[in-house]
Amino acid sequence: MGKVKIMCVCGTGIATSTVVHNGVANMCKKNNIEYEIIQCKSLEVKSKLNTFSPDLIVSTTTISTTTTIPIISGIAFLSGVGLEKVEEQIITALKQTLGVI
Amino acid sequence: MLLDVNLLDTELVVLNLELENKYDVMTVLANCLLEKNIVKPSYLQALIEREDVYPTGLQTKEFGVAIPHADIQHVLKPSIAIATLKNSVKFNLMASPENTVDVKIVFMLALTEPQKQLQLLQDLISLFQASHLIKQMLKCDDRQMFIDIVNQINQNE
Repeated sequence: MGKVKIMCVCGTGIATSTVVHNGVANMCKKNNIEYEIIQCKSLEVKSKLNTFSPDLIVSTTTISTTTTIPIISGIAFLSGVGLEKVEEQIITALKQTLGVI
Repeated sequence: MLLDVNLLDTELVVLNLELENKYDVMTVLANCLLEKNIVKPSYLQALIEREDVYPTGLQTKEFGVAIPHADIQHVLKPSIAIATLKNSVKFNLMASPENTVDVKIVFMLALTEPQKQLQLLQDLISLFQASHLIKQMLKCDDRQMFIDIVNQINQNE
């Protein structure tokens, strides 16, 4: 399997994206998916799309930049509500990227 | 760990505040942090500007909470200030800023190196989700007792 690139986004790029980063990293490890993760502010998404080229974006905030990259809400990592469903969405999206499903 | 006295002490806990709106709550908490030299004078303005663009209200299973915070350049040392409110105020939701959530407990974050403060963030998230502790926190009117409740989250892990 190849490696997936994930961008974790929040308003300041420091607090909630750190929590999401940690949660997504744990999911990848659990599912034996090799990953690279960066964190950024919502405002930086546009420029990072070019420099990092993520396969998936997990964000706790709304993203105004238009992109074809799938965006999944990371709010469940904070609220605990619906976390299992989000985990499933993320893993499915990553496996699709890797071409294993 | 929230227990760390540098991160949370009684002077950074304000209980049963009676305030009109989220701006008043943010001002009170930011002033607590400022008085203790935890944030720079620029923190409050940065906090409010950020909250208006990227709100921090969250709906957990049973409660509305908010975690207002500003960029690290406005912070001198890591800490957290907490307020409980007599009457709820509305915060806009992080996930959908056009909607609001009624909030009776606010956690104001002052972060400097988030990767090193991951445990604090994780403890905080566990706390939001521990409805029984939030219930006790909302009823509490003694600051030391309040901190004892908060610290139960570490023992539960």
